[in-house]
Amino acid sequence: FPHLGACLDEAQLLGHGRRMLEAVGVAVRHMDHLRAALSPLADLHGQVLRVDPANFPLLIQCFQVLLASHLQDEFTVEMQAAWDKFLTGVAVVLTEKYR
Amino acid sequence: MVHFTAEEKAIITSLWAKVNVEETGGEALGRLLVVYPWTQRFFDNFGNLSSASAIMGNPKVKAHGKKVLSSLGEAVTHMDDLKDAFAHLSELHCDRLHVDPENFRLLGNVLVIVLAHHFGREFTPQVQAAWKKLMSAVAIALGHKYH
Repeated sequence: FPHLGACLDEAQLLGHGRRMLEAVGVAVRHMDHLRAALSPLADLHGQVLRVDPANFPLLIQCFQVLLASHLQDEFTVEMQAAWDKFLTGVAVVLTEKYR
Repeated sequence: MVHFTAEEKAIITSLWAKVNVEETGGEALGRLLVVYPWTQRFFDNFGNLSSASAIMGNPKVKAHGKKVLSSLGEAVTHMDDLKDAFAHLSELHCDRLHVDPENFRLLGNVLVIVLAHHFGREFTPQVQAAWKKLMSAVAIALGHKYH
């Protein structure tokens, strides 16, 4: 995130985080057609941003830590299994156009 | 070798003091087996693993989870010499159990999520960072004797 600079500006961080979460929302609404729904984002990540694919599991982990700590009891084992499977599927689609 | 600052050590030990080793161990191992079903291959003799509730309620899963988490307690008291502390377990996992080291990373990640689940808001980014660092270091120590 070079555009955020060395000192992370909170507003920018929250803004960027919000954009990412909205994209997750798109994925949630198109779970059976992830490839089609996320195609523009797959192009962006693969050809423009070229985010290291290794970073996706890191973000997925952080996302689940957040869900677990905020939802607590609601974050059952079934919920964890479903979200892990779903987010991993999203990451696969986002990294499909790297080559 | 991984170096832990005084602050990281304090964060880790103070959280560990509040962890119920028996329950948390079973929870973490259970979640690993449910979320990553292929890990069940190491536990053929554990009986009923046919559903999430069967796994989470399975007494062998709970017992083994407690054993695994107790070893992690060793890590908390040996943060400065993890390689030595886990040398024997590393040999065991390689030579006898044939567990791919990737599984240590998976379990470490699941444990971090279980801790977040239990501690809620107390599990801040700093706490997460310290624990993630410990889990990564333990995974490395456990893989050290692999050949």
